[in-house]
Amino acid sequence: MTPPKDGMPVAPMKGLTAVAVANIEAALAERRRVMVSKLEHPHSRACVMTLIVGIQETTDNQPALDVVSQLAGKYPIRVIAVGSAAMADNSLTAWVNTACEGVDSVSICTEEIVLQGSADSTDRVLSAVRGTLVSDLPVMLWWRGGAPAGDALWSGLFAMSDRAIVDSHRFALGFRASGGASVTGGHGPAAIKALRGIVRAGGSRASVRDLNWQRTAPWRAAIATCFDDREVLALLPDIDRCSITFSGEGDDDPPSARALLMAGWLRNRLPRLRESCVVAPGKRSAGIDPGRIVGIALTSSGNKASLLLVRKSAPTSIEAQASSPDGKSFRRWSFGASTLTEAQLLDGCLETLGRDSMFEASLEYAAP
Amino acid sequence: MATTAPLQNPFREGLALEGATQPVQLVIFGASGDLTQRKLLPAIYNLWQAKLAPPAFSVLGFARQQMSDDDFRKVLADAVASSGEVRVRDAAALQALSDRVHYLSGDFHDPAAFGQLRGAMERYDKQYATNGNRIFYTATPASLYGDIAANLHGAGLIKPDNPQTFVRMVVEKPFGRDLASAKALNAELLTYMDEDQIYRIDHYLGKETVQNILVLRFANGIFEPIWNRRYVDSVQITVAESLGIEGRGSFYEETGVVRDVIQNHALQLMSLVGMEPPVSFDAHDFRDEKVRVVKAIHPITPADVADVAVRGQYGPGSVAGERVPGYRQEPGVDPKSITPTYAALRLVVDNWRWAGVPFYIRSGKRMPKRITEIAVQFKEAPHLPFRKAEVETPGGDVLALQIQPDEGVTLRFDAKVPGPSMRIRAVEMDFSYGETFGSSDASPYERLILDCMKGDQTLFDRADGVEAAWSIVDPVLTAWATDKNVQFPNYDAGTWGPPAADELLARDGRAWRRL
Repeated sequence: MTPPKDGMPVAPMKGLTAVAVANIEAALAERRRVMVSKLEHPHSRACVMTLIVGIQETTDNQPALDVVSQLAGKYPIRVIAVGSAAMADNSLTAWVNTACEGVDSVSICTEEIVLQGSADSTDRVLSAVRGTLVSDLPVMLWWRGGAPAGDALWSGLFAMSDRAIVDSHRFALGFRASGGASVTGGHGPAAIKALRGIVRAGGSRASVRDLNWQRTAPWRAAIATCFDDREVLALLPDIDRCSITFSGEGDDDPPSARALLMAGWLRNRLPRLRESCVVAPGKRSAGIDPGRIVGIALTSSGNKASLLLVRKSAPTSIEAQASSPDGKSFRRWSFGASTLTEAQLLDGCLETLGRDSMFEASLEYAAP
Repeated sequence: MATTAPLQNPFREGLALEGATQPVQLVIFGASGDLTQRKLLPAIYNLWQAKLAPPAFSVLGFARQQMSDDDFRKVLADAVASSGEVRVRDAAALQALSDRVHYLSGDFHDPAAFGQLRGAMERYDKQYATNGNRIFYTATPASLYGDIAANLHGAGLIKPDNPQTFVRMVVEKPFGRDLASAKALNAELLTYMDEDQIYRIDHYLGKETVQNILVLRFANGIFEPIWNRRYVDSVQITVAESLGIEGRGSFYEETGVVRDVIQNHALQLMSLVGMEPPVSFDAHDFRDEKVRVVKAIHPITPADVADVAVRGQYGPGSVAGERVPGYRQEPGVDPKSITPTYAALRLVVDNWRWAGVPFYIRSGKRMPKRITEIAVQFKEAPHLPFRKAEVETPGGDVLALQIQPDEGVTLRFDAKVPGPSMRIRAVEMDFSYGETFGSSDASPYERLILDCMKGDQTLFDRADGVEAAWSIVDPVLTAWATDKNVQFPNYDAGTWGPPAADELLARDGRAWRRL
């Protein structure tokens, strides 16, 4: 939590300047004028979107802004970071910053606005956000928190956004297993249910992206690549079962959200797997976070044809092996699968345009 | 009898690499050459490092020079180390690629060498599980293309092994040296393979900003309605190089600026600016429209050449503060050479959209700066109601598309200078590609090799397109080759070309843009 200092919260990140909310635009314009005057080359103003960062926990202020700062230099955007802080009732504080990163004669400039309000000032925060959106450009909301059901800040921000980017892994961590027991990898089914609720609420107005879905991309790409091989593709008619193993603590662990999303994708892509794809915990290895996928098996009930994929550490990779109907291994692959940082995942969600229909379809089949 | 549809990979849809590459073996003819080292190997490495090339992939270099696999791998490592186009230098990725890179020495004219090539390809096809898919890249002199195709055919390497496999051939420019040779080469290649196997590459079409011309025109409602003779006064296309011939004297003596730039790059740009909207961006529809506009260019007769074409050759001068020799003083150049290093053309398009709108094209070596630009000059306002206005820069509005080096779009229009009097001054509104999207990730070669791997011919030339472009410049080449009575050099290095080029536009009451 950011400690108050003379009634004013300390700036949540270095380089920020406190301003009155009414002066945000003027302060940004002035900072921009000064900054451009220092550049050694001509610069034209560019902006491609507003990125609102909804921060649920005060302790996440700095980490969230650190992630966004890693995107500077790639997108000329206006970032509006919104969170709460321990401060006087109904108070709202704003900070601004402008930064340019560039190579040679090209600079990409980012504007940052940080808004922090007391718990009871959500309406004031939302009005400030509304007034600082860049006209006529897409508005992306990155919600860095747990499942937001009932959260007034979320509701207000989502209503003004074209896309919400969430993390169902964080959702899962916030839920408890039935009976109230804490589970290490979180409660995937509850997270999936919350995620579906958001997608439905967005309807045709706002699309939804999930960082956790992005984390399954290396597995999906590996499976697709294996089946690009004509001999492996020939096994496909025999494949009628799948099992996904995730890193867990014990047999009672509920399925992780990530494993469920992966299962949803396989069921969507191969409809005969809808009744025969299981998600189960495997023994947690050192260095592998709970909830992560550690293995996928696509097998046949009629013969020994299979495609097995296993996560390996040091260096991180996905090792794959295809076996023929008589059980003979005939092809092996090793796919590099380094862990993606939160900034890389967010980047992936910002970079692609339009809806992710594959994610939405897979979500439908992710859990009962 | 019902036939069974071939199995499709259901897992590929929706991935970032949707439609990505099938397993493939890439054979580079001319593997010991400059193009391979400077462009192809860095592009292939980038594709591999970014996981855009398939895991089931191998590269086989083929050239006359004796080299071992390890020697060729060293060439790859050096290319990756020295190329400015390599984005991420990843030792593990380089090693993994290097492990699947091989080399075979052989004569392009020798059928027996192609028998050995077949043996090697069958071996590596099994080793790397490339499913019999093959791409042949001809990074050789154009004179060898026919022999290579014939020998590949003789060795049974051109025909796909079965309906699920593909065999493609990438052919580098120059595609012929005139209309007759281009037709002959097309006919020869089409003897051995189908048009959909031939990928005639012009790296200009792989540039992001060239593709952005299409987006600007066809994805924005504001430009297309005014993109015609009613609103456009003229179009200027400039492809200027500040460099000279960089030690390639003997090559340039045989080529000249028309074959080097005008017939391909400049006419590509003109076709993108002038084409009608295609029904779709697939290879067939897109190339149909691109060819159609080139075919609509009013043919230049031998009698017209003196009126619509200007040639030039640079003499000694200074570029960017450095004294540089004239063309005739360059190594490998005939001291009495009449090879043009500069050309300007006035073209008109005989169709409904462009009737009466001149397209001025110029390209030259040793210009004051390196710039490629398309400028669409709009007509002036029909009536200026500001009677006593001071107009500082008369002239209509201009939409300038910068292709290189500072990719972007500039709109020049008039604005009132603040103050009590009515003074009008031209201002520019800039869109900088780099400051909006960062620098482009992929080099043109990378993009086009990937397209070839994916079987997408959209950005490659079709036989009729190449021939149509040659038919435009052929009369000019013939007239200039016949008329040797030319006073060269006729422009100093570091200037914008000969005075005759200015006169070409002055006769129409226009002037080249000051760049």
